[in-house]
Amino acid sequence: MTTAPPPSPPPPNPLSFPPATFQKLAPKIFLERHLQSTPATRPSGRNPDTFRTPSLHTNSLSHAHGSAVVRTGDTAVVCGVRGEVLSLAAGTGGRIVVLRTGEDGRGKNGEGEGDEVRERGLVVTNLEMGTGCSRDYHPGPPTDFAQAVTARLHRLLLSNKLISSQSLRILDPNTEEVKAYWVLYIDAVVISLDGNVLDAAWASILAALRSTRLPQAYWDQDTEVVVCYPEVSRYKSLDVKGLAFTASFAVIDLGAGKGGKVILSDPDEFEEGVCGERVMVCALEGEKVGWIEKGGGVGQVAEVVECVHRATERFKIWEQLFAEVLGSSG
Amino acid sequence: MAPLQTSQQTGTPLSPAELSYLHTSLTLTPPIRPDSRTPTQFRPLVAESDILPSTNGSARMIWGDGGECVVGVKAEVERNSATSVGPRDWIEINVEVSGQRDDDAFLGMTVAESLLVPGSGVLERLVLGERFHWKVFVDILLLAPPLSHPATLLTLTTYLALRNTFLPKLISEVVEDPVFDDDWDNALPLYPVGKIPPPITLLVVNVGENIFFDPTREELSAGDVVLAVSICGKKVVGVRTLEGGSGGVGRAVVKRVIKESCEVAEEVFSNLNSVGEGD
Amino acid sequence: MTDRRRINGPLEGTIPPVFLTSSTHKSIIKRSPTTLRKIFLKTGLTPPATGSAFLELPTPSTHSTPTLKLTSSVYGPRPLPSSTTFSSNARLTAELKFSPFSTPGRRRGYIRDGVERDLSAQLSIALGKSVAVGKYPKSAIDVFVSVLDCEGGLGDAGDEAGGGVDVGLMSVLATAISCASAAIADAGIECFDLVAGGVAGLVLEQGGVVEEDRVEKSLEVGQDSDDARRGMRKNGKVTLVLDPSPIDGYIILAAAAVGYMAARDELTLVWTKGSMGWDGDSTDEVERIVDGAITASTGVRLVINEAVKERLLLGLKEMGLIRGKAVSGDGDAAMS
Repeated sequence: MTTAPPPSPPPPNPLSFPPATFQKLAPKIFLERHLQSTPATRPSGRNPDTFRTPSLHTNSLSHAHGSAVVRTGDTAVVCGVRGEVLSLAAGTGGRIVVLRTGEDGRGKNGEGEGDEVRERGLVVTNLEMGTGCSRDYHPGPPTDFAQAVTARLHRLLLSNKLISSQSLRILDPNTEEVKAYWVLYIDAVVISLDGNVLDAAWASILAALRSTRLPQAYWDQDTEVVVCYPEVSRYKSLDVKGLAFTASFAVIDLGAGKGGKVILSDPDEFEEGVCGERVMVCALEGEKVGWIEKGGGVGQVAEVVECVHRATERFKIWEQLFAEVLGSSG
Repeated sequence: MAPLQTSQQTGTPLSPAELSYLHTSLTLTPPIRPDSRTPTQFRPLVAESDILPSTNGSARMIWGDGGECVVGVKAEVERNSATSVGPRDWIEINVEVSGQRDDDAFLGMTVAESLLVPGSGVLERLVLGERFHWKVFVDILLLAPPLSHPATLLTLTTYLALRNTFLPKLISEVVEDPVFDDDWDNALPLYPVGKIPPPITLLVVNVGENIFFDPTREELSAGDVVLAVSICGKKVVGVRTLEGGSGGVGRAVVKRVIKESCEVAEEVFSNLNSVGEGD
Repeated sequence: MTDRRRINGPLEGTIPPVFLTSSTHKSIIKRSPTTLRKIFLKTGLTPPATGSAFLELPTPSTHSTPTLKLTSSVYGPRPLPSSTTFSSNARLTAELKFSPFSTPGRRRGYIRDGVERDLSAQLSIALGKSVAVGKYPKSAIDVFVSVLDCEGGLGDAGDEAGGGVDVGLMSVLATAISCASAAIADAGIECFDLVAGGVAGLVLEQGGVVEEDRVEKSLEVGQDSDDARRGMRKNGKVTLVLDPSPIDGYIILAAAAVGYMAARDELTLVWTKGSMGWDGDSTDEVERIVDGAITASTGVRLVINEAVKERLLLGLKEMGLIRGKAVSGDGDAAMS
């Protein structure tokens, strides 16, 4: 921050520090002291169970098929989705494609068919943090942390089955045969980072996917290429099934008698640095849970249950925001 | 303004006192250069063309400070691709520096930018009928990087190589697959006399009221601004600012640098064109 | 060459969608040659950074036309890594990166390419000459610019905008300079002056209107295109256009981008490109576009001044030094 320290008289006791210095010198104690006050307040002024208010804007990029900007507090992520064509006829370069189901991956009954999205790698998720979003990330190859978050986002996207293979197929109009696929390149760029990048990145990916409109494409038999109609009115939106939102938590142990364990919702960069124990819950529609991750320490089951409750509350806030910005959730 | 500190990027071994001395002597009227050259005088260099028999055109240049550059031009016939829109990638430039300097992307861009000047008419000469075109590879090899900035050395050698590049004459019809005349004496020059010649890039440094051509590394770090001016025939086709110097310069200085570059370039062109006539 | 640290697309390779008709008709907004487009500039949108700025051009944006959007963040002055040698000056490094979804045509890769390295080098020259590097010995100032969206005309193979000089890269560089300069001011780093970037170009105009079919003609490369150009030069008129955009559909004969410090009347960066396709006095032409680019950057400078002033007042108000209404609220509303 550019603001200079306020012109205060020199401290009377040479062993007392301004809060900012204390925070740097003894981060753990600084956080503990804050949480031991009544009512328990975090350094950011939030209660332990308060999430930061999210904001969402979609379709602000001109060359992406879908895009979204999500900002929660000081964490901001821009996500762009771009479709490119994977042609099956162009030859696989002599490579043998082994599909896991042993079939061609295309079920005849439409629903619950083979998962081409996963088998052919039709969704490509990446998270870029080397944009000067924070002091610790430099341009260049992604850090271990960035790779780990990317892998988690990718896994969440596939396991929640949000994108149906159906909407990515490009057919021959005469024979109804699958000739090509759309490949979705999902790139999330972190432009400002203050903790909990996963929740913001995930929400931006989901919003970008929901705002994605791909051109209508068909297989042209004469030229043997995939051709798209240029008219914007013929663009089709992706069939994104349902909603899923992640909520991340950090847990700090204040010690027996001093308050026990405190669960911090939506931790910021400072809190993430202090707390080792983490919980992540992916909440689905209808108060269902899709994914739970817990690590970094030993906790009671009640602790995880509390996280799940908070995550379902958080889900409602996101759902409302998405409904406001993207229209009614389909 | 006198540069108080050495330019970090060029990393001259000069101390602030030496730099200040150099700066002062360069601002005098008339200026005194450390090697007693006149402001527009170039360092001696050795140049020869047509040194590589297996290329369509080649040249070699050895600079006074030890810089050595070899350029080879090869041409291949390529089918027009459906996806590629323009002939932008018909000329491919590759700069290789032994000992790998980090700024070779910058060098490559400078050369490519000036070589692919729109409207120079080169790309039109690469068309072979309706379905084919020449693909020209310009490989620039900087064997020993000079102590000063290599841009001038690089482009002068490239100029010489391109001027001596010949492509076999097409004898087939426009619609047929290309067939060529196997007599090299009938080959056509890539840059015919009378048409727009290939460009060169001159490095110019400005110190106070004075302008110096072909600056040494020390002069580069003492300068207020370093400009690379690309000139094609009598036209300025590109100006770029290089690292070195500190602070900004007035617009009058920039304009004067460009004007003088044009005058000096004319002399350089006539000298370069005489290379190869002597032997 | 696959990047093992990222998730890559299918091995077979994918191609961008091919449309039935070659190019979608771009809506050309009528703008007088000397009118600059409106800029949205806001500082302090990346709070973890020492200084930051976001720039959008043009604003307000319409949905059908591409815009230029970039964010810039500045860190420093901070200590140089211990492995580096002693430096009596601050070392300023600038990194410019295009986001994968920022460019038309093919998706851009994550690994830095030649264009990005070239623009980064020019950006650090333009900024380095404005910062009082002597005030910060043994320290590093790192500038990061991310291009989120751009208008095209980058000179990539397969880029649709063609004919004449590509002005896209120049306007990316010029706006990156302005945006990064605002971020440096936001970081409170001592400068000689703020740098503003400006672009100007000479275009061929005919009776006040650029003719569409002429544009088409120049795109073809054939035996006769040289003559065609020569022909149109006779009845064409060359006009100076400030702040040209690749989507305006001009044939740009020559263009310049400058980094200009208005208060000192000095240039920190000059970058011009010209085409050979017409005859005119060469040095006059360069002088004209450089002057034009300076005029354009003077206009941009006013926007930077306002953004920096706004931020300063906000800071003073936070400290309770001045009273009054808050100058501005949260700035990210402009991304809509």
